[in-house]
Amino acid sequence: MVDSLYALLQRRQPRFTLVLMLILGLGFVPSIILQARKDSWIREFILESRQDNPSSRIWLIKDLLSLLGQSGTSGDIGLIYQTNRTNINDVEFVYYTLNYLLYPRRVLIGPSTTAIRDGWDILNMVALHHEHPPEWPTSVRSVGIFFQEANGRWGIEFGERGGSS
Amino acid sequence: MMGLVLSAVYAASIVCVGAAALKALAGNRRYVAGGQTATAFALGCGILSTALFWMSLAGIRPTRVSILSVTILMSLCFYGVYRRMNGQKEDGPASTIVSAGFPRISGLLFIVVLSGLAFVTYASVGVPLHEWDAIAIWGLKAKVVYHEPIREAAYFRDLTKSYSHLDYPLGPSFLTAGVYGMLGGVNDIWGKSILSCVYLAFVFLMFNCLCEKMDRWLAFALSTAAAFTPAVIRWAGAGTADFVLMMYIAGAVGFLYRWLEKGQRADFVIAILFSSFCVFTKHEGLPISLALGISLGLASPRGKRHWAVLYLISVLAVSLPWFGFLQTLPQTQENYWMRMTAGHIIPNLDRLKVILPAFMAETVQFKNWGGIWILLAVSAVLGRRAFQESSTRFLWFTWVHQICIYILAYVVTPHNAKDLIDVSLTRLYLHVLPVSIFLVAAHFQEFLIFPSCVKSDSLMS
Repeated sequence: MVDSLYALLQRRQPRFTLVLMLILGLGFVPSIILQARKDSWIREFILESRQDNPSSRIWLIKDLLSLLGQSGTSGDIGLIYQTNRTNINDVEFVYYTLNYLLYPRRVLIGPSTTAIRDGWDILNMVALHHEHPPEWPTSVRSVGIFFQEANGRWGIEFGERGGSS
Repeated sequence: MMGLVLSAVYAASIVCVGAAALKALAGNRRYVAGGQTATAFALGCGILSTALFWMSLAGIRPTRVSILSVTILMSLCFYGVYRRMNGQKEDGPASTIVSAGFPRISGLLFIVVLSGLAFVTYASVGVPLHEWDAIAIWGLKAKVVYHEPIREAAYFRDLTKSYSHLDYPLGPSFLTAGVYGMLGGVNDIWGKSILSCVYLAFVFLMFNCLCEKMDRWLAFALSTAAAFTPAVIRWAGAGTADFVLMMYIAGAVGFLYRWLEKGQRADFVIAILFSSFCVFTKHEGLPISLALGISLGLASPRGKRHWAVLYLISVLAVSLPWFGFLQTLPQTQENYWMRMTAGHIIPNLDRLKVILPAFMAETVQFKNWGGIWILLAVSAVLGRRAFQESSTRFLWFTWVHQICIYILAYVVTPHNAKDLIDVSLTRLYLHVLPVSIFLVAAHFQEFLIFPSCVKSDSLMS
């Protein structure tokens, strides 16, 4: 294949070779080099997705999936989400994630008996436990403090969808 | 193992529907090896997700039975159309795109992109959903449309979930819900399995279109450059809608471009289908389709301008069921169409001070794009005579329209423009990538044939 390409280049006009070199030199080769570098996204992603990185969002999701899988449709599960930072993005991420993972089930948050429909309700309930009133999205900061203060430990009990919870 | 098998069956169903549609539309056209399957897959993704949407409107959820039934029914219908019209097609064996299927070079392309494919597969089926938008928007919607027919789903009226954009198009969600339907339940891992096929289809779709324009080795090099662009690798397996939209844009632009050059009606119809799939994939799909139509009108010779109107009307007509459903949804603050008024645009024009430098800076973000935008600039200078061709002007008009649309969107956005740019600009540039690759091909081809004015024999070799 290499020989045939070399022969092809010899046969072609210099312009053809120039164009091929430009495409390879500006398009293909830099892309390959960039992705082999230490700071490339691929490396970052693979490192991030390793289980020994506790702050990885990927593993937060995996843990959640695993917990939900174990719990089935009833019983208690404990979710621990620890973070050293009080970050609005992390809280939002948990909220979105819960909405995604829990759909379409109804849940209770323990020890309260209030029905929880989704992550929104969970965040509001979490905010109620704090001295500041819930004012989404301004209440996010107080929810973030909750995570830091209590190590983000929640108990979630599942009920049947649409049934009494 | 069962997940893999059922996902493969689902992918085969998509190819089956797409191949039958392609056969009905374009007859016995010959393609670059792998090009037909890629085009069929891209078409099939749009057709099947649209069909699942219509079924959902009628109260039928995606299940194994419903998916396989609709696949068989649609394939038979398309095949019936083909049989009926066989012999009346413009693309008989005498007007093949390429004289040979290039099986060796297609095989080489497959081998070269294997490493990219391996990573995209790992990012899609090796880990659960991990991107914000994939979880908050597309993953949630896929679960919704899998669990309930959309006319019954309370989700679409639940404003507490407006962060997930209740009114976003449902094409990618139905594509994922199809996997769930085949598996018989939600599976966070296998739901994304289709993305590896989308990546491969995008590469071979581009290769197929490029082979018609330029030497196969140059087409090969450009296709690999597109396949390994860091932003492409980054987003292909992420589970957001951008890469699926990019595949449809590649199809729409590629077939319109071919129609402008060869005038075969089948290409025009296929481009209409791809454009309507864009509309059903992301909000950006509608302005992109409008941009394609307007560019077509601007670039076409006088006698062909009415085709642009026909194109736009057809895209809107095919998308009518989606627009009808959209009207039943609550309006959210992020309604960009309603914000396209002087009252919103003029007071926010000072945002251009942030937006324009960000757009310029993105083109030299080597970490995201390598040298692909520089390649576009170099090719435009070397092959500047290509500006005289209406097909190249069509590509440039489309390119400029797309960029202008995105700039305008940032001007009127209800969010902080800088924050939004930080999280979305790279993905929006992905939508412009297929047009840019076709432009590079058009300019380089012109550079190669001028001044000798002898067409490269490679096109037919």
